[in-house]
Amino acid sequence: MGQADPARGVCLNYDGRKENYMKKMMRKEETFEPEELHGNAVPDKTDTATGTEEGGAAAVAAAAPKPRGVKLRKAGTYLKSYWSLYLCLLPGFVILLIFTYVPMYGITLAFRDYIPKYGLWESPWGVNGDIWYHFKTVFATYGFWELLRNTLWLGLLGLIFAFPSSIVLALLINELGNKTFKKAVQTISYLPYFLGWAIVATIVYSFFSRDMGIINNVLEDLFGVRVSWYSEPKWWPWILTFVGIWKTTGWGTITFLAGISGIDPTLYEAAEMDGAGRWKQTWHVTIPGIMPVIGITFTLTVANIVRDDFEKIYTITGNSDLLGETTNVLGTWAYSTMLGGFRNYGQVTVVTFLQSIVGLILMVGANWLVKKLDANPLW
Amino acid sequence: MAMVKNKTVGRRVFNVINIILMCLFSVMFIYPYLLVIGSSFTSETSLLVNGYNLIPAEFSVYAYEFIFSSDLPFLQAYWNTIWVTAVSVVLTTSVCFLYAYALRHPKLKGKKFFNLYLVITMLFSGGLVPNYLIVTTFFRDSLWSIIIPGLIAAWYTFLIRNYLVTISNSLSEAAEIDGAGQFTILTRIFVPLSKPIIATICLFVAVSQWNSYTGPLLYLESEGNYTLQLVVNKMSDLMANLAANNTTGRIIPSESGEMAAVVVSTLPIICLYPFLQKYFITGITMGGVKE
Repeated sequence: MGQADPARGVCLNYDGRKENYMKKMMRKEETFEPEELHGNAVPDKTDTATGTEEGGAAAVAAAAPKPRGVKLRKAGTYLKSYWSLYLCLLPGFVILLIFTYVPMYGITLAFRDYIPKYGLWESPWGVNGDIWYHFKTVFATYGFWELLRNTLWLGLLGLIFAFPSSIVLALLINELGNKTFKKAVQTISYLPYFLGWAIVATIVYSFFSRDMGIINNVLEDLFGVRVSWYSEPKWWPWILTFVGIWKTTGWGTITFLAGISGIDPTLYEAAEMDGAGRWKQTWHVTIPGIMPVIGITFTLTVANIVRDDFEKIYTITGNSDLLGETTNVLGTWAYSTMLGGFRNYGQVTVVTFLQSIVGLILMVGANWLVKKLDANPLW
Repeated sequence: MAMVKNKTVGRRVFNVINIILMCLFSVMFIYPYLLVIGSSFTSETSLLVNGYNLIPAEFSVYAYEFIFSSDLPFLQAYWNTIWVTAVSVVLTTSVCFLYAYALRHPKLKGKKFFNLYLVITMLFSGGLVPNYLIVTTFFRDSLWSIIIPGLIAAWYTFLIRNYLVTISNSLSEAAEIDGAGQFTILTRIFVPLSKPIIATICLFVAVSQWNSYTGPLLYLESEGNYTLQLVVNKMSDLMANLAANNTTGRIIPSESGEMAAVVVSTLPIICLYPFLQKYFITGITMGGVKE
């Protein structure tokens, strides 16, 4: 049992179940509880996940209509046996409460005048009685629309180029015949994923540095020019997109390759008998086969259009003013504005709150679209 | 895997092109890293003249000697990162596992609530300022500030839960009847059977902590608390400071030193991941399955 082998686990379980069933039946004569019979004691082969969960639900439902005293006593015996389950939930519950749910309440800062003395809980509502003050300030700033434009543009570039690149790479890798070569290509393609953004930023610098960068060395050899990349904002949306593709494409193939390997081989045989070549097989068997995975990935990617990649942009551009025209996004603005002092907290909260909400709406919308197209939606 | 034999001319041409294409892509993925390694072993003077290069024009290990010298907080950052990663791996995996275990237990009442409690955190968050205010009320410039708030993540917990539901209840029920408490069942039955998913989660936590940047950037102030990502990110500033106060007249390897820092700080992960990738892949593919 020490070995982590699911197959052996199942085997052991099967024996265990038999014994368990006998014991249950013996015990049943003393205290008979209908939900026990319904939920767990019936030796059901498909018991593992669905069976028992239904059993639990049935137990709750069965407990409902009983009189109060009985209910309390039952709750007592239940807690006596299962209090430790709640102890298991406790650490996670408390951490989430403090570090996720309390900050969610902190969104109210968007409607309040934050004063350090009063803090998160007691700062007064509204600035000079105006609850929408921070919203108005944000929308009235010209900078906000520029930030929004940059954010959306970078997000769209990511969706248009980075999202399909994993699918294409997965399809190409799938066509490789030699297993060792295939494995090697996959392993190498994962490498950039394991480098942190601060590391990637240094690598990007070694390519685009004006005096020492590889790209300028090549350009000088070919055309005799050196470009000051780090003061030319127009290139950076493309550079950032390319770096994003470089970092995540290989890793992104994992889900698609798993999806491809799950396709029924007989579908390919049938397609071939119908005279479909390799290209047609890809188009009519492989791609429909991974449509569910594509749907889920699409849903999750769409939300990122507004949730910009702060780490990536901040580390690579170094939040440089020279590049700000195209690379200042909501996330980098929020960070530097927050550092500007507590008077800005309201504005920053407005922006991050809107990002969060719009991201959620986009995700729901994408999910609706995926459902409409009859690919597998996320929920 | 369908291996359909179809040896037309077009197919062969495609195969050759595909192999060439894959070789090119592989070079594209690995070349930047090799370039960094090459540059880190180049002497600073040759680097300034010739620029970054794959093969050092003038071999030197001075950059490595320099970054480990006491002038830079690099060694301290290395130790900090190892410490944070180790503690996070143990604590985060435990907290998520416990939550997942309770969540999959057939007898848990209020399962829907505890599920939803977790799902909401995947969809919505308080955002930068509220998070910052809460974390800084508890921790000021402390390494715990990047460990404690991340102790539970919905994604990991659901991965573990999805794995645990594949383990049958009968073993634990039998143990329960024999009088074993919930903790005995947890540690003696479920933990040994969940080794693959535990390994997967440990690796995910380790990589994300090793590479995390935003948390340290927000919460760690003093140089003594820097993590590797922060030091690499601020390396050029640190080097510039050293160069400005350079009284001994020695060479400050600001460019090659930065490259050496990148190599040293990524080496553990880059050396290990090829051997551990199956665990990562298990996690990713399990996550792709609909709940």
